[in-house]
Parts: sequence; structure tokens; C-alpha cells
Amino acid sequence: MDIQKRVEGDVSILSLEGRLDLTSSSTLKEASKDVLKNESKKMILNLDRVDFINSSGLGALVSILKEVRNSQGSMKLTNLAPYVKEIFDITQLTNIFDIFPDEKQALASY
Amino acid sequence: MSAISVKVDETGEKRPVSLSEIVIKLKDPDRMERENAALELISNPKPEIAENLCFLLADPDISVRNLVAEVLVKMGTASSDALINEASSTDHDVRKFAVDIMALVKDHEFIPILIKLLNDPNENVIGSAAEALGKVTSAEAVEPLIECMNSHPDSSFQAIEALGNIGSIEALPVLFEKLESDNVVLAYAAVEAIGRINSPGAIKKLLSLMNVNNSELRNVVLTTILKNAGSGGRDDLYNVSGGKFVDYLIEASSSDDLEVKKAVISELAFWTGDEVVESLIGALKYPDEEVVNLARGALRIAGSTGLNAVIKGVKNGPDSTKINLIEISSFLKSPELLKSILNQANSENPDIRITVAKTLTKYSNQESINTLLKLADDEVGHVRVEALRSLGLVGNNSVINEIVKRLDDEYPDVCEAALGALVLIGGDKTIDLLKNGIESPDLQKKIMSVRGLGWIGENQAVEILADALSNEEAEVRRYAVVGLSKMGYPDLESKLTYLLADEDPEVRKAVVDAYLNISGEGAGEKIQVLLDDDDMWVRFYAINALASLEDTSCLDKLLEIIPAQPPFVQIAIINLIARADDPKVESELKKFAESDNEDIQNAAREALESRNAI
Repeated sequence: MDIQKRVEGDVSILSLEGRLDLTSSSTLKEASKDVLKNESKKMILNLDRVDFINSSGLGALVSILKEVRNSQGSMKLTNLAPYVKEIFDITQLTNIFDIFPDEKQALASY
Repeated sequence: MSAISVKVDETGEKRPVSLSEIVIKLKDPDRMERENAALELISNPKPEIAENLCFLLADPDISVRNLVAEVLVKMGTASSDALINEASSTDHDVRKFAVDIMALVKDHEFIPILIKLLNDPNENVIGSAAEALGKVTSAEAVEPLIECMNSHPDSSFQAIEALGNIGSIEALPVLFEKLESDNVVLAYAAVEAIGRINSPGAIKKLLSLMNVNNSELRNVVLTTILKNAGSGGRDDLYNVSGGKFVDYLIEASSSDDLEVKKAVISELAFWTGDEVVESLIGALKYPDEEVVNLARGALRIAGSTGLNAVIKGVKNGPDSTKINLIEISSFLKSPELLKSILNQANSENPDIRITVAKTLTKYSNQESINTLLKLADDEVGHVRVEALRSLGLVGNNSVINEIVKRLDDEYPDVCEAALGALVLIGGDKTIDLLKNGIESPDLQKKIMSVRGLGWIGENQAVEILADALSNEEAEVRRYAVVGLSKMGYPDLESKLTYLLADEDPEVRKAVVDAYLNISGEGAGEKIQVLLDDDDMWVRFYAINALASLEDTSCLDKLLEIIPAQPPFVQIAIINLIARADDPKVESELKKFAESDNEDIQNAAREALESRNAI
């Protein structure tokens, strides 16, 4: 999985590309931990280019969300592809995460 | 008057435009002309221009007067001298209008004339002058305003407000006197003015009013203190003769005045103790959403200082209160409170049990998980749904067996919730149990198991799904195709070839989707096999898949089969072949444009039109 990081104001945006599975989960967790510790408590994960996500990938997202909330921060997700949206619906994670159609709307919500 | 701008006339000549021309335009019947003239004047903020405008303050047309006032306000202090002149007009309406504009321009140069106007023969002018002095704010005006307040009863209200705005402590003694006024409007205005002065003496005086009998006055005093003295929670600062400040807050929290209620509830968040928390819990019953939300917010902050009251509310409160308290309980982090929440899992009201199930995602101890397991067996389907959703978030290997049991629940939403929970928990044990599920005699369980494995999407699930491609149940084969296709299983393409001939049309349709997913542009060639399928819906599905790929490489085949198809398949073929760059398509489409079937006719005509447009 490729992760591109950039900062808009006081919000860190991580754009993910590839498969979010067991192998890539730890990379994502490390990257978000680093953001929380060194950059910002406000984070956006752009999933536009995530073409596959499985149980381990979902587990990673839930665990990152818990960590962000424990640090009094907030995390939003954007650009869920239809497949990702479907698995979020099945697992009801749509009710747990703040999800926005695009980065612009997610940024405006901060 | 001199020229202030240039205009290009009908002949294209530039000519200077005089001030008088623009001023006259302020009276033009055309609104655009008037607004353009006003903008022109505003962009030239000069005293001489303001002076030449003021005669329009006496215009009989109110819209002209208002437009001129707007121009003068926007010109700022450039209009000050002109306004001072007009404030001495013999026409009292003009004097009043000039003073009202002064209140917006707020130039300190106005103070002497405004003070003089506090003795104007016209009472309206006096009221406006007092109000304007409150806007310009100058200590010089305090003494004259006090005199005005006492000598002009009709303008007392404006004078009191102005004294509050100026904020000088010199005014406090007379404002204190006004608190005793028989006229309640003046007394309340005095309270608010004293609040704005906001000195320790002012707040002390207001606090001394907290024990007056008039509860309406007490509430005005209370809200004024809360508005001006900042958030408290500190009784040492709020020593009130006759009682503690917090007692007044608690009493006022049951006021029916919505503004008072909201101000007091917001303030109570900063106070502590069971009584404070009890009064906030009481506000949860109030039939106003904003009040309830404020009380919930305040309880998140103050709730932990009155846990006994919260626990009592969860145990014995009305159901709506219980639900609100359970929802905010995770902010209070108390084991005793958690215990009383867990007890509510036995409530007779399913809404309470649902709230408990939702809230327990915030706790991941074994007791909460056990309660969720119990709720996952609840007699009400919706309770089971919420419990399973929560178990997905906080559950672990110990709960998987129980969740799997719900995959064949009589209530479809429960099955879906169980599936979602298993996908979230994932792991080897879940995969093993789902593998067993595929072998179960129960079809529903088989299907849910194979779907779950597809969504879990871990490598360990691949072989199980690959085996399921040859399962005797068509639905199992179908979902195995769907799951493997989502996972991008590399050997799937070779296995799909024989599934193209599967006896079940739904499986063959799933194969089409899988080809689209894994083979990209090369999928067309494989999907074409299904153009001869026995099932018209599979043919229809295959044709639409080819359309999504814009693949017309099988044009001859399409033209061969079209006559024998039912109308809806013919229309799908027409839409597909319309994209083919082949001259014979045109003549075929023309034939269909003459069809007896109106839908086919329309599809063919549209196809011809779109080809001509290209």
C-alpha cells in the first residue's frame, strides 16, 4: 500500500492507494500513529484509491479511530469506492466513522 | 457644483457629471439609477458632498430619505459636519433623522450637540439623542444622561440603556435607584445596564437582588449575571445574601422561561454536586430539544460530581431520562454507573435495551460483553441487531460461536448484523466456523457463511471459497464467485470458464460480473459465450456487460441473434450495436425504426440520431 501525506491548515491528509489488508494494515497504523504524535490530532484518510479492504483492514481503521479518540483528536474518511462503501454498510461502520464524499467537505467540517 | 465623475454619452463622448446631477438621480424612479448614484456618492466621501445631500433628509419620500441616510452612514466621518448642521434644523423630524444617523457614524465630534439635544423640545429627538450617546460612548455624557433619565420619563429607557453601554461606574448609584422603579420595564433595563457595567460592585448589587420575591425580576438578574460575569462554578465569588448562588440556579432551572432555562442549564455545567446534577437530569424531561441537548452537554461535564443522582436517574427515572443518561454515561467513567446500565439490559422497554446495547461499545470489559451476548438473544429482533453490531466492535474470539448461531435468525436484519460482526472480528476461528457453516444442512447458514468468507477476504478463506465454487447449492457457488472476484483471486479466471455453463442463471450472471472485475477489456471475449445462453436474463446481462465495456467485436453474432430475442433484449442489443463503427448497423437500425413495437422503434430512432450526431 502506498500512503501519500500532506497537510492542509491543521489537518493531516493521508491518501491511501492499493489493498488495505493484513500486510498493509501495520503500515497504515504506523503512519497514523506518526501523524498523531508529531503533526496533528485532526486527520483525514482519503480512500479513493483503495480497491480492496478486508477484515484486517477494517480492524486497522477501527483501531486507528480508537487511538485518535483517545488522543482527543478526530478522524474522517473520504472518497469511499463502491466496494469499500458496501463493506462499511455490512459492518455498520458507516455509523461509527465520519464519512464524507470528498476531502473538501471533510475539511470544511473541521 | 463641481463635476465628480465622467460619463460616456450616446455619441461616445466623455462628459463631466456634476454632483447635482447625481444627487437628483437619488430620486430617480428607476431603482438601478438610484443605487448607482448612491454608490457614486459613497465612493466620494467628502464633506461638501455630504452637505449637498442633507436637504434630502426632509424629502417626503421615505425611500429617498433612507437612501440618503445609507449614503451618509457609508461616507463615515466625512458626513459629520453636515449631520451636526442638520441636528439644528428647525424641522424636528430632520433633527431626529440626523441624530439616528449619528448613532451609526459614531463620531466623538457629535457628543456636544447630542448632549444639547437631550433638552430638545421634541421628546423623540431626546430619546434618539440618548440612544446615540450610548452608541458613541463617552464618559462626558454620563452626567447629562442621568439628568435626562430623571427629567424626561419618556426617554428614561434609552438613557438607562445608554448608561449601560457607556459602562461607567459613576452611573451605578442612579441605576441602583431605578431598580426600585414601579415601572418594571425601567427596572429590568436597569438590571441589564448594571450587568453591562460589570464591575465587582455592579455584580454584588445584582446578586443582592437574587432573594427578591419577584421571580421574574430574579430571572432577569440571573440571566444578566450569567451573560456578563462569565462562567462561574465558584460560590466564593457569588456570595449572595440569603442563600447560595447555586441554589438560585437550581431553582431557576425549573423556570418556564426558555431563555432563562437555557442560560441556567449552560451555567450549571460549571457547578458540582448531586443537587446540581439532579436539576440537570430534571431538565432532560423538558419538551424542548435544545434544552435537552444543553442538559446532556452539561451532564457530560458535571455528571461525575453527582454520580448518585445519575445512578438514581438510570434506575428510577422515566424511560426518556434513562435513555439520555445511558447514552452519555461513557463520559462519566464510573464502574457503579456501568453496573446500573447493565441492569437496564433487563428493562421491559426494548428502546432502553437497544440503548444499552449501543452504549456498551464504549466498554470492552467481560461483563459488558456478557450483557451484549445476552441481548444478542433478546426476544426483540432490533435489540438482537444492535447487540450484534456492538459485539462486532468490542467482541473477540470468545463470542464468535454465539454470533455464528445468529446467521440463520428468523429476522433478516439480525442475520446481516451477525454477518457484519463476524467480518469485523475476522480471524482464523471465524473462518473455521464459517467453513463449517458452508457444510451446514441449513441453506441460509451456508449462504451467510460463504458471503461472510468473501467479505472477510483473508488468504485463509481463498481455498474454502474456491472449493465452494463446486458446491451443490447454486447460491453458494454464486457467492463464492462474488467473494473470490472481490478478493482478486488469481486462479479464478480459469475456474470461471466451466461456471459459464453453470445450471443456475444467477451463477452465470455472477461470472459476468467477475469477468468484468478481473479481466478488464479482455472480459468481452469471454462474456460473448453467454449470447447463446438459454436464459434471456443472462443474455440481457451479458449484452449490458458488453455495453459497459463498449465491446462490439461480436457485431455479426448480435445481428444474427437479434430477431429471435424478446423486445427488452432487442433494445439492449440496439443500444450496444449503435456504438459499432460499421455501415451495416445503419440499415439494421432503420429496419428496427419501423418495428411494430413502439419501444423498439424509439430505441432504434434514438440510436440512429446519436450516430448521426457523432
